[in-house]
Amino acid sequence: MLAPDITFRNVSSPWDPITPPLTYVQTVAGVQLPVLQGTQSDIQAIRIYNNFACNPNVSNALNVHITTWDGAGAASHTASTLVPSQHWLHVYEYGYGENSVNTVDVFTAFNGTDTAVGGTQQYLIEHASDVGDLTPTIRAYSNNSGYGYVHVITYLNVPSNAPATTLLWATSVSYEYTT
Amino acid sequence: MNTQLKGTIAETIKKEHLGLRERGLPEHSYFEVEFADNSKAHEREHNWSDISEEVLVKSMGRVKAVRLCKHPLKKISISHAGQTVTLEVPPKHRAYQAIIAESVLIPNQGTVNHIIGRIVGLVNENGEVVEERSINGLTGEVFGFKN
Repeated sequence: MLAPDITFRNVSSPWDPITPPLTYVQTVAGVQLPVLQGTQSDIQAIRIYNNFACNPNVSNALNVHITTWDGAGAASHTASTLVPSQHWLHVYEYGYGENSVNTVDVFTAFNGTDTAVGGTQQYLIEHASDVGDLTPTIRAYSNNSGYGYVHVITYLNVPSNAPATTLLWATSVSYEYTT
Repeated sequence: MNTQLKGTIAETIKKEHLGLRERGLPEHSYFEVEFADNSKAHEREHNWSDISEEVLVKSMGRVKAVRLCKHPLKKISISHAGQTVTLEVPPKHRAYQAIIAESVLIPNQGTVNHIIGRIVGLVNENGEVVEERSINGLTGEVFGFKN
């Protein structure tokens, strides 16, 4: 089996890939403003798909975790900057489904647990892409009922003592699979 | 040269014709198992999916999805980036292993996919994980627990 093909995508059709950075803002009276100290951002909803391309022989992604790290390369698994080290990003699962690529979107709501993430403090997906499966699994392809996704809500909770500056970080989805 | 004995467990399992790299794995990342009949299998010639089944088990108070080997094992090893972990499989226990990978959304770079390491574990007859080890290829460390 091949590795899962995990992609970050928009939550509405045609579910285009997200081009980073995911930008967090705060809407006040219809105007998008930077997120101020001591406040929360607007939510950013994203879908995490496995095998959106519907290729054969792609593995399910097991034990899917979400967190933030400092960045890329040497910073890919460090959490010393503000967003990952202080767990500013909040994540929770909001829905799941399968087959949205080829058929009418199948979306089932699920209210996950709001979790502040960063570094080794991670959000473990609570409901699989498959109906009735309470495991952290995003299926890839299984008897044509795969192409799974989970739909997650994210937002920033910015402390009152945060600096007035632009911050960048990496958002990570880790998972297990077998050949 | 095929050194497996005829009629062994290793002989009965499906062979993979693609190499590790062709399956998206670095040469330094693989599993090896020794079955109860002393025959052996290596990821260079076999897929774990062909000798395992997906099972829900209990681990640290949570439900975890793993792929347990369908055949009786004596021992299982995982290797990644120069580190190797070997677990003896006690009677009435089953083993799982997996590749740990990551997809990262990086500002101004896009999405990067990479393999982080390997994980191996043992499950008792009650479906509980009793031992688990993971190799983190980024830090060179081995983590885990034993109950």
